[in-house]
Amino acid sequence: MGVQASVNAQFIKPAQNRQRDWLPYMLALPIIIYEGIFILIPIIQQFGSSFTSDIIGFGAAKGVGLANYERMLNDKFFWNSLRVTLGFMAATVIVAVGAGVLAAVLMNQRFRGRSIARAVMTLPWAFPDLPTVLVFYWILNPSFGIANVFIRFFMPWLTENPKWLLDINLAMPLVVAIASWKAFPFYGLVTLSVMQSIPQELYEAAKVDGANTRQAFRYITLPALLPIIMLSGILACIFAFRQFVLIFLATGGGPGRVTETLVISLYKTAFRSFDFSYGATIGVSGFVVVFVITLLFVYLQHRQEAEAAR
Amino acid sequence: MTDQNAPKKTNEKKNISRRDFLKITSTATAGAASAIVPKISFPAFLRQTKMELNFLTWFWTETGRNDAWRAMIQKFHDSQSDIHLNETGYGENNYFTQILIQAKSGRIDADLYTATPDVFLRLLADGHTIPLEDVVAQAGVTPVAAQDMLRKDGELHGLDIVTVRFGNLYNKALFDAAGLGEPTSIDEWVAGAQSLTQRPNQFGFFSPHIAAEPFTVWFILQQWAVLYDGVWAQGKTPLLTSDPVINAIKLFKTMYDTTMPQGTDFGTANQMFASSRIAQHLVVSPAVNQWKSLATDTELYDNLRSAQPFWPGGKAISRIHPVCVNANTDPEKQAAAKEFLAWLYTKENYQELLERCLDVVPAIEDGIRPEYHDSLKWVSGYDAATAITVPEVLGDFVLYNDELGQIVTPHLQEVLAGSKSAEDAMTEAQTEAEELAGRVFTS
Amino acid sequence: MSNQQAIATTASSPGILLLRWIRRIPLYVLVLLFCIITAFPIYWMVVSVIQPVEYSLNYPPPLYPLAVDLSPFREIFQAENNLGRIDYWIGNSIVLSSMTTLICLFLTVLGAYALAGKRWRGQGLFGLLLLMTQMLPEALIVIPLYATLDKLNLKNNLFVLALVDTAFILPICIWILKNVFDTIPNEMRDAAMVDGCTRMGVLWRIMLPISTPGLVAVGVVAFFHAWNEYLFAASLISNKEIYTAPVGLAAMISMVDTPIDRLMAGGLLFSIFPLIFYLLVQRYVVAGLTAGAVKG
Repeated sequence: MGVQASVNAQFIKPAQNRQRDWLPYMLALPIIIYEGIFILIPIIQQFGSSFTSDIIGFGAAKGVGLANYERMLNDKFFWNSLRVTLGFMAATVIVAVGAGVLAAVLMNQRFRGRSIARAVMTLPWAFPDLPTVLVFYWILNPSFGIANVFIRFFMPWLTENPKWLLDINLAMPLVVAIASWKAFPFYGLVTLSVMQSIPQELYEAAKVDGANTRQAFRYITLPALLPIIMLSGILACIFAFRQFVLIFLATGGGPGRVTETLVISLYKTAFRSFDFSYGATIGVSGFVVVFVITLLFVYLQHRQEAEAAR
Repeated sequence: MTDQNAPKKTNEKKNISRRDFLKITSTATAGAASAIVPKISFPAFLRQTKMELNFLTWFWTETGRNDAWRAMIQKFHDSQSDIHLNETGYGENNYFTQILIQAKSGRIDADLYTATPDVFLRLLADGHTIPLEDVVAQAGVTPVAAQDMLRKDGELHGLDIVTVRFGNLYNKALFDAAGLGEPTSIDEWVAGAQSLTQRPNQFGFFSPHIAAEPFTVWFILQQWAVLYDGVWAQGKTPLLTSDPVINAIKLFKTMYDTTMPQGTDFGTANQMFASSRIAQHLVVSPAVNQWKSLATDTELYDNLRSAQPFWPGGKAISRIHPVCVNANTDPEKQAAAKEFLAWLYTKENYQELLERCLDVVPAIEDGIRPEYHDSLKWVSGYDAATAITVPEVLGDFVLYNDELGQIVTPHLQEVLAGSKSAEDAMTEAQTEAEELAGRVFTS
Repeated sequence: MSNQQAIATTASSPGILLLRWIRRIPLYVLVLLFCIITAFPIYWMVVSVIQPVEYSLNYPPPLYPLAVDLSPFREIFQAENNLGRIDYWIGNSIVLSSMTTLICLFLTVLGAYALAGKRWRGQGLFGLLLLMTQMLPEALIVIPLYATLDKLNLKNNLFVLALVDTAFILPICIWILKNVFDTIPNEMRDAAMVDGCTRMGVLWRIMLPISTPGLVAVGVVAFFHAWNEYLFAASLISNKEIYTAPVGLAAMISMVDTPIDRLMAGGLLFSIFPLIFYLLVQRYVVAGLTAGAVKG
């Protein structure tokens, strides 16, 4: 690169000793203001609303203290939706990130038609949410869906079509599958990009040392990928928590309440039962839970980075 | 810098239009304009420009009904040049979400809007409506007694523009082909529907059941308890474990298992009915107009019949859908909206609207022409049923219609999926409904 | 031992080639499987649109179209008097997504530059704040935001919607670009500053040109987000003239009588743009997410 380390050292050291550097703050400020206007102020308003009783058809909002939170702690549906959310998050993280990593490994191989395969394998990322639900709903129609043809081909002993999204036991796995179908290409691309940045010399050196492909993967690729896998996990968690359109249109939280995540429950409470204050309570609480989980992830990631740096 | 200027500019614009209006009325300050509602109707000559009104409703996306309304509004536009109506709205499954976001933020974003009975009661309580007695007086008509549920302090706050009633609508050609007559009991109904089912080509029956259509599922399910002469709640007491409700859930399960195209959405099912692949629906009367418009088979409409009530008691839920004038819009616009409604509610225009919509339950005395009524082959079953209102079926839970629906429908899905018996599911639902009652009826 | 070696050497080229091919079979099978899984639903949507609806409503449905009927496309363009025109919706979505992409790119560059490079006090907090805003469900924000924008008379405005959409995708975009910036060796920036560049100059002359693929990746992420966004668009846009495609499509879905072939036709038209857009920039996206694009 033609940069001398000595120049580098000369330049940086005095700069650090000088007065505080304002540039990062100037850069960050517009973003903080921007996010403040569109997200933080509204969320604070909602937080306030969780201490009121604010239901359409029952006059202006009244302060009720912690009553909503008390109700929530005794609300079995809240606990159910918390369980469902955590289950959905865990399952999508595993399936989507797992499929993404596998896809990245495949896309990183040299083979004929790789560029076409790469485009096709990542296509769902570009496929919008609404058409995704539409077409999966149609594929999985218990009466006319093409999925019945496939399942009967592989399981010819079935006497009747599965109920797919209407089946208590199948609904959640299917929703996870649909959400993962849509999400995995992103994690695949991110992982692939890191894979391609691993210096080829490392593999060559390993080969010289007598390592086989599997060992090279285990000792070179995987450690290099761990940070990106962790980050993908965090993002997958966040996106799974926020997932609305896919679940809402595919199952509406049903059958029963097996796919009723916190966001679905919040939406139903606020926009179908008109109980905005309790909806806000559910939303704020769910947010806190997920925030804690994410912090845990971030902490783990930091520790891991620190270890790697050592 | 420009950012700071932007909001100011819009405020100025708002003030100017308000100032124009204040010149005329001098009643309220801009801030209070939304709260105080003067009952002044403006002479047409005071208005310089054409008054634009936004009419918010799901009718624009309802096949058949949309054409009827567009024709009526065109007629209104032709009859005068001062007022012009614009269409705004959403499809039915999204409509209430949007109107409630708007109401919650303080103001429904329209001058005229339509509502269901239960949403109306909420909007009425929160002051989103204005009295429309003068409209009725100007139109010179007498509202039927059923409209009394739209009254507050004796004054009508909404005008019914479509009453829907449940009935068993069937395709007579398919019945004839199978050698079936109208059922005379629930058992016969079930057996008939089963004999009409030849999966996957033909289905004997359909009723919405997928979770992505929550409004529709609960709205139609309510009629099923009435089939056993039952109700879902009485006063503040939910009756979800009563025999009629349990029987209704079991009946639904039987029909679902043996006669319905499972997992099919209402839109596709309508399409299948229109192409004679579904034999019957337990459905409200406006479905006729949709199928008439959708059908490629011109004979389908001639073959539609509504069965004579074959269930004990012979009752059918009647639902009133009012049009309301927004309390939080400019008084001048309110006056114009009233003018339109007064025009619409005159006997001749109302009759025309009813006929164009293919509706059969009039909201005003003499609202339906006998010649029209007698020309309909499919109306006798709807006529023969005894009307029962939503408050009668849901008791005090009518204000918590959706909450009750959110308790019942997930349990219905469990029963349909076969994971719980009707008794167990409804016992749980009853407990949940009692908790709901304990929470909402105490204060 | 020696025997086997002998076999291996004598079999040399064709045998080893065959062996190599056989060992690659699992790879091809897996790739094919992935491709089928990702492409089939899209293929199925096309099939459901172009074959007459009666075929779709048969069981079993044919795996490939037995007849072609393009009338659903005609019908959704004629559905004009019902819902508005689908070509307008798609046009609006293109405008909205482009605006979102531009606003987002601008802010992303600022944020990523602030996060990359030397540490500053509050940097961690800033990162955490971004992460937090990324986690809030839209449904929680929509009511207060609607109320505010209604008061300011800023509804039915695609630019405002683009601002809102940006707020929800900005954090992840900043994260992507920060990772790209991080891979640019510090020495390069420092060298430029020794040459007399200001730090904004470094950003403009050194960082951005090197990070072009990263900017493409950010642009694609922002574009897709705005293209998909439904909840805010549905509540903030009530004027049919400026419906975005998801709002229009959802209106079609929520009409209780839209036939499946017409829905699929709408869905397909709605998907074509991002699909083509993605195929065009796909190459850059991989490179852009490639943090190591500039290694060396």
